[in-house]
Amino acid sequence: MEHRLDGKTNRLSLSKRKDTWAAWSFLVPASLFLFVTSFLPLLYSAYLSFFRFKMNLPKAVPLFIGLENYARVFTDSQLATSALNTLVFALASVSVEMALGLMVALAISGDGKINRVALAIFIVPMIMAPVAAGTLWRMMLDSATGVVNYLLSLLGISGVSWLANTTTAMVSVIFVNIWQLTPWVTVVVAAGLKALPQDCIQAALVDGATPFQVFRRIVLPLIMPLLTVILMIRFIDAFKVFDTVYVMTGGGPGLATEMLPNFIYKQGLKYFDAGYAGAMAVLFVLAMTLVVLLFVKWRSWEEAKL
Amino acid sequence: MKKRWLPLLLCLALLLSVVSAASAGAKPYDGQTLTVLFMSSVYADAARSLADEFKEATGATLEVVDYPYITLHDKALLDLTSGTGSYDVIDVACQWDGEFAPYLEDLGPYIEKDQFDTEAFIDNVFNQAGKWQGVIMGIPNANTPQVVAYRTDLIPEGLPATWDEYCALLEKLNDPANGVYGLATPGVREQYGGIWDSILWSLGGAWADEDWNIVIDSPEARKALEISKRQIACADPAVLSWGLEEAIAAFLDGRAAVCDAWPTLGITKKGNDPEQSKIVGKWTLGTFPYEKNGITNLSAWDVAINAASAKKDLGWEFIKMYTSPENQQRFYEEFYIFSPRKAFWEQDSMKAPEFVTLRTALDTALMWWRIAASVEADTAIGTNVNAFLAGQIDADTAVANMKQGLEQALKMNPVEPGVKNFNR
Repeated sequence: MEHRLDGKTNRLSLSKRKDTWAAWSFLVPASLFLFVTSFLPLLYSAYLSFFRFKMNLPKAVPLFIGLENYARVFTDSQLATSALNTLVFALASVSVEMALGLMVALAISGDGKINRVALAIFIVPMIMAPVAAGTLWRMMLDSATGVVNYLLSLLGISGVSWLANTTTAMVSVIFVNIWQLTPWVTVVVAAGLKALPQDCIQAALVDGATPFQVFRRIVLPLIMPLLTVILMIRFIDAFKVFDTVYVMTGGGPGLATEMLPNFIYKQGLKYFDAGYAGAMAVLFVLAMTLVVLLFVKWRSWEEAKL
Repeated sequence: MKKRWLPLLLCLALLLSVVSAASAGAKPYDGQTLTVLFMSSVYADAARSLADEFKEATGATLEVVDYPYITLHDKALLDLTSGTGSYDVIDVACQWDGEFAPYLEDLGPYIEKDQFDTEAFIDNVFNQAGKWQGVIMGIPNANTPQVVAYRTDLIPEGLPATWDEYCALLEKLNDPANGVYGLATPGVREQYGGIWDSILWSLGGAWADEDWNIVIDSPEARKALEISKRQIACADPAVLSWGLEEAIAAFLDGRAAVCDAWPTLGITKKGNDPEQSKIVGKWTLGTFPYEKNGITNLSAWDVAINAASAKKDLGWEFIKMYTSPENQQRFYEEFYIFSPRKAFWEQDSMKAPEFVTLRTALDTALMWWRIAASVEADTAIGTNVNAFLAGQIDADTAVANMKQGLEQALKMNPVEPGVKNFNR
């Protein structure tokens, strides 16, 4: 008996070792690729962040300046403006996307044909390239020839200079981001809603709970972990916005819609200031890592509540 | 034996004849491809139109790559600094000459070898587009001074000589209720800065003195900001989001009395075409108010050879072809590109008043800094002028920011010893 048990244990160990080897053999190429294409460049940027290195100057050699680039980050007023703009953009667009996306998902998460058609139409903005979306809306928001002002004129509202005013320019880029990415939230939330256990919901309805009570007491707590992940991904993506804003306003008027990625791009690829761009990139990654950790903690807390 | 040798001899004779025939038709650069980089505009279109002629003359294929101005500097400099040599010939905006010069080929030996006539070009243009610190690294291929297009039916007496009178005129003509604004201008921060520079310089102001000491914190800079503000108030409210195309379109559509959006990049071609203009025969070109010195902004381009290119000789053949008198004339007729050659402006067809205005301005027009700090400096100016006009900051803050931006640009891109500021 013991001998047979040992034999079985040995077979299990061997099988487990084989599985482990198989897993690593699949993981190693992908990990190597990620290391070379993502981690190494980041390490090199971090290294350069301690140097003054202007790549456009022919005789320039990296000059060690310690934390000077990092100190400059905290005294650069334009960078502060860009960071604030990005924060406002992220908070405004993500909060509306989450609320709208959840509402639409609740409305069309059924199995009916109409729901399927509605979803297919709804996700069209999501599949457009950001540059195409930005160009399209730039044309639509044109004060003289844009369709938006034309429709407003039918309602007796005179033309708005959407992209020339500091306030409306920011509102415009936020709106386009919401327009393009609410469908993504909807699709993911809808999938989450379909995966919910229906027995709790049915039981609550039988017991006389209103739809709002069912949503508030059953559905929302169950999908909170998923919503946390969606919120995290959207927030990080919103902080990385570049192409749409670049095409629509270029960061203007003035600095009204200048975002962090655009600012870092200018330093690195327009001014060729590798050290300063590297410092900003490192701090950006650290900030986003902190955000991710906070969201992961929040998600764990939500899961524990269930 | 004889029978075996005869076919062999015949084959050899046939082979030799084929080889000699091929040699007789062979071009010096057969099978090669020359890659040239231009701004997405008529300049790139003109380059493409040379493909057949280039192939015929050299045997090489011409590949034209183009990018919008806003990204052209980054693309070109990335290739130059990396030494990749993706682009054999680059059309360089003259404000980038100093920054690109270390990576471009000295054309002196080529000029001497072919006895290329450099005296044929307008001196003021060549000195600012192609020549850098005594070395010729590019041949100028296009130029235009910053001038103004205006409606002759609304301003029959011509433009005034001072900025106060000019602004008063715009205010008088500004009639939004009837769909006509005083001014159409490219108000985006990447483009309006150059117009503001023209105002500043004509008032006697400058970014820096000859020894690169920043002098922009001046009464002239503040006055230039106020003048800009008065002008923008006479333009479409959306003007701060307008680029060149929108401003030119507004003028051609009859919605503005004056347009300072580099008229030679659109208005001269379309202004008298009934299919593209509602102001046919009702416009002309004029200069900005003379004020103190009449200095205006210069836009000029020069074609240069990448020092990392493996086809420098072929690149020189392209440069000669692109800048030849015949092709420069054709480029004007087909694409409305104004040539920097003196003889071009001396022909009878260029004696109309608007062309005389252009030619006169080319003798005094200036580019801003042509050193490595140029891009950062220009961005600092454009961003802060735009922010002031958008109401984000006041004049004192704008000037302080510009000063700080210029100082930072010079600090990060130190000027080579011995290089003086001959621009503003």
